Amino acid sequence: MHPTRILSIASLLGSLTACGTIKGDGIAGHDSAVAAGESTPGDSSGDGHHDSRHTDTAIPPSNDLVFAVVGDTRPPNEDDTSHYPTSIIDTIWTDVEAESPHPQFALTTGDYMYANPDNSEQQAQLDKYMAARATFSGPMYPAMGNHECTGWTDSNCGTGNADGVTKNYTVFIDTMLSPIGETLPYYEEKFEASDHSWTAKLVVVAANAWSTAQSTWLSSALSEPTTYTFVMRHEDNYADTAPGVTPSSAIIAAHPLTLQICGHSHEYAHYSSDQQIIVGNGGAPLTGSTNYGYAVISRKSDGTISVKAYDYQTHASMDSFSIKADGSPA
Amino acid sequence: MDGAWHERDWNDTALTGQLVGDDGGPARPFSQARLMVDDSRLLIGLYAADVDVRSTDHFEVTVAGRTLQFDPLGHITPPVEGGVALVDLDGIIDDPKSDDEEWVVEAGIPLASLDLSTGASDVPIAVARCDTPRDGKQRCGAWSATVTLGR
Repeated sequence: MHPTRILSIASLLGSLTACGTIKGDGIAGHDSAVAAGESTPGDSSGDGHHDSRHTDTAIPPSNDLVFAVVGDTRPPNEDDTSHYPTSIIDTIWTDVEAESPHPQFALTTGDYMYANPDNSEQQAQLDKYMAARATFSGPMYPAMGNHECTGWTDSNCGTGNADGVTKNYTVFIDTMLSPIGETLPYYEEKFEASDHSWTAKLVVVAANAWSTAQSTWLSSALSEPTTYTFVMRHEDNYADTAPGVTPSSAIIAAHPLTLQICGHSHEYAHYSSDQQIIVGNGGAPLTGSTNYGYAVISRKSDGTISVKAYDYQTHASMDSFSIKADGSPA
Repeated sequence: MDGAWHERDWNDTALTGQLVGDDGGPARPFSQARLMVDDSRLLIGLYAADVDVRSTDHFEVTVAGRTLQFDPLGHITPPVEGGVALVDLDGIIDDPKSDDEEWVVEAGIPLASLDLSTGASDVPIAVARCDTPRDGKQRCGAWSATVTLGR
């Protein structure tokens, strides 16, 4: 069984308190801070996982689930660390940190490096990414992109898979997943309102580390009912040369879905018929007409989900729409 | 030469230029050219971010007044004797239902084929690309530079 952590929104807010970075967003601090994936006194599991449903912090009546999405940050050529889009990703994370209300956590849709698996530029590029990401005080839940395997969209990494455990894969796991206590590139996070009025799950799929085990896990994870279901996978439904796209899409289609969050294409796009957004405009060479930027997703007091995409330079809105919990337009 | 820019010189030595769009900003989709010269060839690197790679897509590279097209199939048009173009493609050509990522050209053009005037050392080079991303609007970008030979 793949481990699942259950985090109440209160505990996430507490993690911000623990960092001493609560902003002027009307969120009260409390004394039961539990940061995602970090061990605390009383965490007897020893693996940094928690089942912490602390509800001693009031959640604001509006925007009670707020998270940012950032995706695809890499240079145009492999091993070209000197052309890593550092200034772009620095600005994006600075913008995310300045969002009000402050995002409780952030999702990243994959592709943080462009490194030849046979060479040694992986860590240097992820170090640049993580230095930028450090500007944001909340937890970050990363998806694995094809560049965290070999770079090819049709690559498949992980023990027993065709491309095996590449240096890109290992450095990604060690640098970006270890801080949240994960050892595999597919995982689940659960969230719950402090008054238990709603639940949400984030299911992170790794289409470039696809396996029978992941397939079984995904079916199981998506079968557990929650008010909201967010699925994050690097490749969208149409980047179907990635080994896990077609099989995971079939599983996702058989379960409730609020929104699928992807990257891979270096643009921002919304495909309402697919209940899918693409946030791949985090510094990688742009494939579309949209500028670099990020998205903010929030739950409104009426229970609908608001999605807003922003230009990183002007903070101009690039898109805005709302959906119901079942993914239909609100 | 294999189509990919594996050699360190593509990152460390090549003259690199990002194509600029009609609005004066970076070309969308992102397009980049890299240029080097060895003893006998002009080495041309072309990067195209491209969500829908078509066989009709191409770069136009004008060297000393001669215009060559480079496409995702590795064709040089018109053909150049001794010229080689290889492509590193992440996507499926002419499959609009499949999202693509990019294509990269690594090309070598014999200097002897470029009809450079005797003694010419500074060669003007211009690179252009037009593409139509998902929004259906064609956008073009261009970049130019002077490459110095024989020094």
